[in-house]
Amino acid sequence: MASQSAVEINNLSLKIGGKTILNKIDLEIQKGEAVVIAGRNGSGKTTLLKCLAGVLFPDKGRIAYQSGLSRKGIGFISDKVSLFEKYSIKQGIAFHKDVYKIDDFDPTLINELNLDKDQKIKDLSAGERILFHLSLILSQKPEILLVDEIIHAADPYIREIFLESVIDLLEDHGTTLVMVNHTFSEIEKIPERILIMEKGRFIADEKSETLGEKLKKIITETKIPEEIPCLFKRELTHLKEYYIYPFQEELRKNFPYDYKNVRLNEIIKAFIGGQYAQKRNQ
Amino acid sequence: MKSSRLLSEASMLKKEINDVLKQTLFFALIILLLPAFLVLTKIYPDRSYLNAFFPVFQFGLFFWAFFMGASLFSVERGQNGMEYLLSLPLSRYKLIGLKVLPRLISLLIFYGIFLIFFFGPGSNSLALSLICFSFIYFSLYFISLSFSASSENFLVLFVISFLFLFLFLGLEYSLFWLTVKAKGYIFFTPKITPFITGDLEPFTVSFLIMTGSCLLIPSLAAFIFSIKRFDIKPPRVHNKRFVTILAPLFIIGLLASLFLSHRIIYIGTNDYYLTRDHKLIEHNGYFGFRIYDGEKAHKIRGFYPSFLPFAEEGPYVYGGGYDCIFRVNTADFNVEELYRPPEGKNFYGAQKSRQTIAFLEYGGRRSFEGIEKKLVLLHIASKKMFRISLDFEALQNGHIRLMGAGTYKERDFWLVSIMGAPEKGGQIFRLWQDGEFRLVKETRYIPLYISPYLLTYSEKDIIISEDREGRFETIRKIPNKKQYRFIGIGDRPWFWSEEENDNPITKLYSWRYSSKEEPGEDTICALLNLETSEIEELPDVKGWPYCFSGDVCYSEEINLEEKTLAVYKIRENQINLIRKFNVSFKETFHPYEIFESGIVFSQGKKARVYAFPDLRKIKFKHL
Repeated sequence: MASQSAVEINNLSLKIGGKTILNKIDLEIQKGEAVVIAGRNGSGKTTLLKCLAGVLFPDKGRIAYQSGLSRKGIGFISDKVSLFEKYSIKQGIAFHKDVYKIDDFDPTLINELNLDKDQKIKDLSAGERILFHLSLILSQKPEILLVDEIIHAADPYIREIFLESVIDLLEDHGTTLVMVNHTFSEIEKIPERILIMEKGRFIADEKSETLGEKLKKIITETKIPEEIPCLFKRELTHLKEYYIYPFQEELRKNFPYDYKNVRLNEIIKAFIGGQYAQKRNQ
Repeated sequence: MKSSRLLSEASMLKKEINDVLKQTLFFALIILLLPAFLVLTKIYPDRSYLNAFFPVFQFGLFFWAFFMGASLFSVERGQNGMEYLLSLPLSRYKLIGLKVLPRLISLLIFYGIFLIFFFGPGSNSLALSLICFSFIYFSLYFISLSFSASSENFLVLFVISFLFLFLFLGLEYSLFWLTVKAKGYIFFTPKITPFITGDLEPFTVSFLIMTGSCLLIPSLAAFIFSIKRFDIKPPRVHNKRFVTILAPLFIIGLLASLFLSHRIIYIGTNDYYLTRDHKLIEHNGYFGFRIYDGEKAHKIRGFYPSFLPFAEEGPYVYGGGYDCIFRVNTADFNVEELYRPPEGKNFYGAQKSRQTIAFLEYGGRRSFEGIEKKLVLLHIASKKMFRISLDFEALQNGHIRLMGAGTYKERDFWLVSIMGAPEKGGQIFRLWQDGEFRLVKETRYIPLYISPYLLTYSEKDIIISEDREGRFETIRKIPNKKQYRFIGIGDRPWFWSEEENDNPITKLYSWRYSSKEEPGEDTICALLNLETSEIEELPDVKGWPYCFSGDVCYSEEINLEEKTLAVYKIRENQINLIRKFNVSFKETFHPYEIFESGIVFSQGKKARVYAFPDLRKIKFKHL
């Protein structure tokens, strides 16, 4: 394992009930890197994250963490925001502090929402739970933070607080982030690297900037030649949108269309839409 | 580093203890309220609270045992906390260990409370015996623990656990039954009732513990091995892994159980009889007879729950069990039933004289103040029986014994003694074959008939009478200051029939209790010369003498400290050590039996045989 690697995954595979969820995944994430994993529902994103958190065991392959990293250095917020719901906030904090040997618990996030510490966790709203769980994780000062698809459940205010806290963590502590997400409108600032998963494999693994260069859009009334690598096609009223990936400059010479830049959010949608289209055509 | 790890574990343990405590309080509340409810609503009529409490408590504990095993993940599952739990910085084994520990402690505490009730106020109100309850209680816990990860549905876990428990108990029973039959105890049918009431042999308890462990450990081991990769995948994934590990382990456990049960199960003690020609008859109430004759072992068919040999003639050994009289033919290995009491009757005291077996039959219609008694004379060859009523008033109070037989002027007679309380002594009667019944003598102690002499006792004397003209006339009185008692010959201590033996008896061995002035032995042996009436003490003879003929006697000397048995030959007043044996007196004080032709040592399932006169070892190939 390279000394700068936070996590190295080799040949990771997992099946449940005969269905392949993870299919021989190889991945290396550098220390301090912020990675977002996107993909269709059922592509294996959450499963991969749970394998990294130790909540799921793969059938094959291995996961290696940076040397010196113990389980205490991994913070994980699951898609269910799993906690001991019958605990009160005070009890939940005390338990988490003891288990993760946290000296100081930062109540900032809790105070932000003015939560009563005697309140049961099960009585919190979805957003409050997310923030409470994050506050526990942040106090842990994890070296690796794993966050599943949760921010869509929170209101915009909580979402903003959440994302700012994550960004602060990344900047202040150099935490490695692996995040599963679909919507990039609010998190565009975070990811340095984007992974697109489909059927348990990565179909795209690009730096954010590179991805923008490699994916273009053509809007035309006519059909484009098959030689142009079309990831996804969308038909509008009288126009067609073609998402081209991987784009190369040579294509401009050979096929002089108007290749438009695509925002990150739309990039992800294109990838996901492409997979649905592929599925339909099978 | 180490302290931080311990703190993590301590926090987790504290959480588990809190969870278990809450569950315990809830359970305790139910278990205390339920009996009150049952009594108040008269569902349990005429019972006090305590009376209703104990059975409810006992069965409630079964559910508690199940719950403690099955609830390993129920708290976290019930509050969406599984992923959080599994992401904690604790290995799976540590996690499970911290969960099992408080539950196991709770289980043991409640078991202790049960024991307090069992040995205290509730001992008469409990529904199941200690062994039955304990066995099911702990088995159920381990079963439900093994299956705790197999389903997220508590009801499913409940059904699986109790189903498996019944299968497990059924398997235990089948194992026991199979082993019993395989070991040849074909007349033994294992019953469930003794398990419930606790009326079990020690070997059965050992069997339950050993084989139960062999059958439960595989499921526990499979659980431990499969839990290493326990995660949030559907339970069927864990179950597949669990079953894959369990299957081979269970087979090994089953084989081990079979092996252990074969070693452990040993029903009843074996009785042995050594014939004059050194054949060994082995009898067990549950597998019948085997006869060993050196190279071979012969199994004899037939169910005879007891074997009390009383005579041997040629190849026949005559025995009276509790339910019939039969004889074993040691030449062709057959058993022939000679007598079985009619319905409502019983018998005892069988003796053989010439071709007649005599015994006492009782039961049926009452006459006078006692139970109807008859002397039955069974002619062996024809199987014809002749019954003589013993409904004489003189024979109603006391224990009747047959003590002699003979013929006078072609009239057969039988001597019958009846002894009352020790301080009262007894009487001897002669019963002629035509029914004539006469008092012969009175005696202070148990008499002895050595044809034609009858030895009786007064307070001070030994009285020797001779049978003359159909009457016993006193011919000698020997002062008996030291209170000697005379023992009989061979295996018929009560009488001797001159017609069946060539050499007349001229000497008798006797014993007496030692006095305070004679330290050392409890009994002292002496030799009575019937011709001279002289009694010579044999202080060197230790222990109890065994006489099989008039000339030669053997005595045994037991040393409990050294754990030895010394056997001596006594001829007249000469005593010679034949051999010394090492003996274990652990299981029984008398692990050996002396026969006319030798000694048989038996301990548990094993036997060793040594033949007179020199007590060389006889080897039986299949023994």
